[in-house]
This record gives sequence, C-alpha cells and structure tokens, in this order.
Amino acid sequence: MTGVGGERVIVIGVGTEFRCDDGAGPAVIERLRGTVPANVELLCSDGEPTRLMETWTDAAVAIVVDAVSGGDAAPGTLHRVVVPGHAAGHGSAPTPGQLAPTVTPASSHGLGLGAAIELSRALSRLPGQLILHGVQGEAFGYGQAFSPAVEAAIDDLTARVRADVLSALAS
Amino acid sequence: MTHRRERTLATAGIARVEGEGSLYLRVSGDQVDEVRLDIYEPPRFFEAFLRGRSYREPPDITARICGICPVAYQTSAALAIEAACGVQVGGPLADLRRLLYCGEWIASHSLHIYLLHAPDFLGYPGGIELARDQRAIVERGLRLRRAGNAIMETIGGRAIHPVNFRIGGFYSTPTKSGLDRLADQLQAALDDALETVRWVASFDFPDLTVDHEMLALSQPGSYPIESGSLVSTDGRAFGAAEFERQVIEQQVPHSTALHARLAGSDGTYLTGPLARYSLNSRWLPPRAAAAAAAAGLGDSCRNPFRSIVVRAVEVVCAIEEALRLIKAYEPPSIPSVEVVAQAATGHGVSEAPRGVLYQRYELDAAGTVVSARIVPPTSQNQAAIERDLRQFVQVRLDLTDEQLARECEQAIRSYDPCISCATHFLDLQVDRT
Repeated sequence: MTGVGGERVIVIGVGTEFRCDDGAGPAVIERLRGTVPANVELLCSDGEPTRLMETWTDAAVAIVVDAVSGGDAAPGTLHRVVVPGHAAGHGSAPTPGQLAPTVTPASSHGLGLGAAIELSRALSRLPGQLILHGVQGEAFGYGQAFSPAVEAAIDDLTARVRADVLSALAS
Repeated sequence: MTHRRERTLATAGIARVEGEGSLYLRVSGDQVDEVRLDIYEPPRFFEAFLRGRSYREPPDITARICGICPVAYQTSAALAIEAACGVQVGGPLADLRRLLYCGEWIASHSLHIYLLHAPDFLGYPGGIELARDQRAIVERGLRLRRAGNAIMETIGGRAIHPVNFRIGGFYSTPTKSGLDRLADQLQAALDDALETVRWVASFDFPDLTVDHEMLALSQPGSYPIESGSLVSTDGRAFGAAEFERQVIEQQVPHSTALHARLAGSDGTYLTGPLARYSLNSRWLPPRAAAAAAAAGLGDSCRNPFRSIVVRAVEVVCAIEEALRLIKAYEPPSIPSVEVVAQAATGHGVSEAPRGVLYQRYELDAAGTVVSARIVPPTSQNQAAIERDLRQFVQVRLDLTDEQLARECEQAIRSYDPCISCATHFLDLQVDRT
C-alpha cells in the first residue's frame, strides 16, 4: 500500500489491549480505521523488534504509537519524537538516548521499541522517516480499562497521528 | 557492611511496561543465604477473564498472553477443550497444527539465539552491537526467524496471535501449492539452521551442571512439539489429566507466582529445551540428530548455558519436520471437525518453546467456561532457576555487584524465562553482611 508518491506509509500501534494503558497504541489504530485513506497501512504490534523492523523496512514514513512509562511527565502527556531515518543518511544523529536499550534484557520478551530502532539502524533498515507518538501511561497492570488520564488523551493522540499521516501523504 | 544496590534497566522514554522482574541475593560472609527471583506474573488475569466465555473463545484469548508463543497457548487450550468434549483432532489437521507450531519454535528460538544469548558468548553487550559488527551473522538469524514467521502467516493467518486457529482445527486450510511455496524458503533455512548449530557449538560455555529432575512431553516416534504425554528423567509417566496431581504448586512469600515441584519429591524440576532434549534426543529427525552429535551434545544436556546449542538443534528439527509435513500434505476434506460442548473437564499439554504448557478447562453443558487453569513453563522453572542461581553465585562471590549482576543476567538468559510480555529486566538487589 502506498502514499501519493507510490511509497508506503504505515502506522503501527504497539502494545497489548490486556495491559490497561499499554493498549493505547492499538486503540489509536482502531480509531484511525476508516478515517485515513485506505492506502495507509494500519497495524498492531506487540513491539517485538525484528517484527517491527520487518514491518517498517522500505516504508517511506512509519508512525509508531505506543504508551510511555517512566520519566517525569504527568499521565496523559503526549510525546512526539522524530527519529532520523535512512533518508537522513547513515551516521546521522543518534537516536535520543532514552529510546535506546541500555542493556540486553534477560528474556526475549524484554526487547522493545528502542531495540527495534537500533537494530534497524545497524542493519540499514530504518524507514525513510520514523515518527514516534506516545502517551504517558500510569496503569500497566492486567485489565482492559485505560487510566482516566490516558482515556482523556486518546482522541487528541489520534488526531495528532492522523495529522502526521495526512502530512506524509501530501509530501 | 550492608551493601545495597538496585538496578533499574528500563527505558525511560517511549517504552513498554517496565519493572516486573527482580533478583534478590542475600549473602552472609562467604555464604549465599537466599536467592529470590521474581520474574513472572502468572496469567491469573486470563484465568478469571476466561470464566463465563464460550468454549470456542480460549484459543483466541489465550493467544494474547504472549506475543512470542501464541501458538503454544492456542494449542494447549484447544487440546484441553477438545478433550473435555470427547474429540481428538487427528490426521492432516493435527499435522497442520504441528507445522504451525514448528513455525513458532523456529521464530522464537532464532530470536533468542541471535539477539539474546549469542552476544553473551561473544563479548557483546547485546544483539544490536553484534549486528553492527557481524551483520551477515545476524542477517542469517533474521532469515531463520522470517522462515518461522512465514509458516505462522501461511497457516495461522498472521505471525502474532494467529487468527485462523480454532477448536476442532482451522477456519481454513492452506492449498498444497501454498505450502509448497514455503518449502523453498525452508530448504534455504535448513542450511542457515545447520550453520547456526556449528556456530553456537564453537562457543565457550561456563561450567554448570544442574541435577534437577527434568519434565517434558513424549511422543514416541517423534520429537514432542504439539502434543504428547508427560515423562521425567526419574521415570515418571503420566497424561495431561494427571498434571495437577503430579505437579504441586505452592505459594512462596516473595512472589505472586506459585512455585512448582513434583509430587512425592521435595526437589525442583526443570522443563524446556534441556529437558525436552534429554528425554527425547533419540527421536530427533536425521539432520538434527547428526547436527547434535557433531556439536558434541550427547544424549542429554544438563548445562543451561549449552541450551543455546539445544535450541539451535531444535530449530533444525522444526525445519526438518516442517519440510516433511509439507511434502506429505494433502488438503483435508474439511478445515475443522465438529466439537459439541458437554459438561466436562479437559486437560491439554504441549511443548511451548520454553517448555511444558498445561491448561485445564471446566465446561458446563452449554459450553460456557466454568473455570480455567493455565500453568506456563516459566512458573514451573522458577524454583529451579533460583536453585541454580544459588549454585552459580556461590562460586562467584568475589565479583563486584556489577559483575555479579551481569553474570546472573547471562545465567538467567539461558532459561529464556517468560517475564510477562513487555517487561524489562533486571532489578538486582544484593545484601551483603
């Protein structure tokens, strides 16, 4: 599926719907369905890095939506980070440090988005442009309900992601 | 001197759920007093969530427990519910389930070997650094993983949380030509898998021999994957319906997870690749058996660090099995057999990449789930991992906390514990007095 210029535009919602605020990414994907052009790929992902990498390889623009934990931001705060992709050339500015994994996790279940970005960079598999959207979460236990802060922020997050999609298609 | 240190190895920016794994060591002088590993949240939420659902739903719901091994959850759930309803899915539908499961083994093991475990032996902090330095090797691992995912996408509809799996079989079955297309990819993957065994067999492995009783499935005539009965290295043999009488779970103070032991024994036990291999190496298909022999594995393996070699051999096994099943495949006349609900309880076991995964479902006459029980491999292994860590740490007390944490992480990685998907590891606390 392609954008105006024949290049792939893809939106990936990362997270699991059974871990409260971690379901924000997939929830945004559901809200985008039918509201963005049909040639935009909408996918959900558990965030496993090799699958993320395979998904965004060769995309002109990849937009990732995920819940955020850690840091000092208040729950519901929206984040947007643009990661220089292959369009910026190799040896481009490094990914912000907070996105990179600091260690190898003890289990294959622990690899995440930061690992996906760095692995893609190492293997020249970053998309042309990678935009990360996040919402600061506070509830990550088992359950399907968002915290009130994330619930209140989801529509705004969806609108911001949609704006980036439309901008990518127009460029 | 009391020395306390905590490490929080979580990403602080856009991240997944964090902070659910921790290791606590208490050391008095030159003696390890206590090792507590809190790594796993058993899927109690899902057991409660399943109650009141239709008997047709658990394969789809339990698949969401884990993004790494959804087929294992789907398979054990289906086996249990089908057993409750007096149905045994056999023939080509059972073969398709085994083929689907092979895809999961290939994908899961390849990820662990290349991005998690191998960097430890090669002096890299992780798979990303390995990829920067040795791109061709990591690309080989990614090709293997793609081959596994291709099987899952072809049969399961997609690689994560396959949607084509159902009670009684599948919603639709692949065409012969659809599977034949997979065969070309798998034939190339077989070479990559054999090369992987040679590669990992060349690593230097720390000395560690564990003496746990080992528990795995047995499918006489073939290497156990998608079904079987249970056997142990101490001579136990029992079916899935006996599981909860043979495996005793007990509360421990430090963890929300239950610790498991085998009935009539106060010892821990181990399930997973080492157990599977040690109890079933004679049933490996020819290429895998030859690769294991050339790698020097012998009939059994009790060093957790060498589990990387066992996983590599199991990738060869899964690819060989997949190729055999594809060659013999004739599309079944129907994609699923009818399963009529009845008031009964059923039990199911299969070999998840990390070991025995057991499920039990109690149904009422209308097919509503009255109760569900899920015992994944990591909760069974938790006590054994703690005991092994105690032995491992005891001879490394001269290390600094930082060195000790790194080596403990490497040791734990050998077991590839399921740490509740999307968690980050490892908070380490060492109290030395």
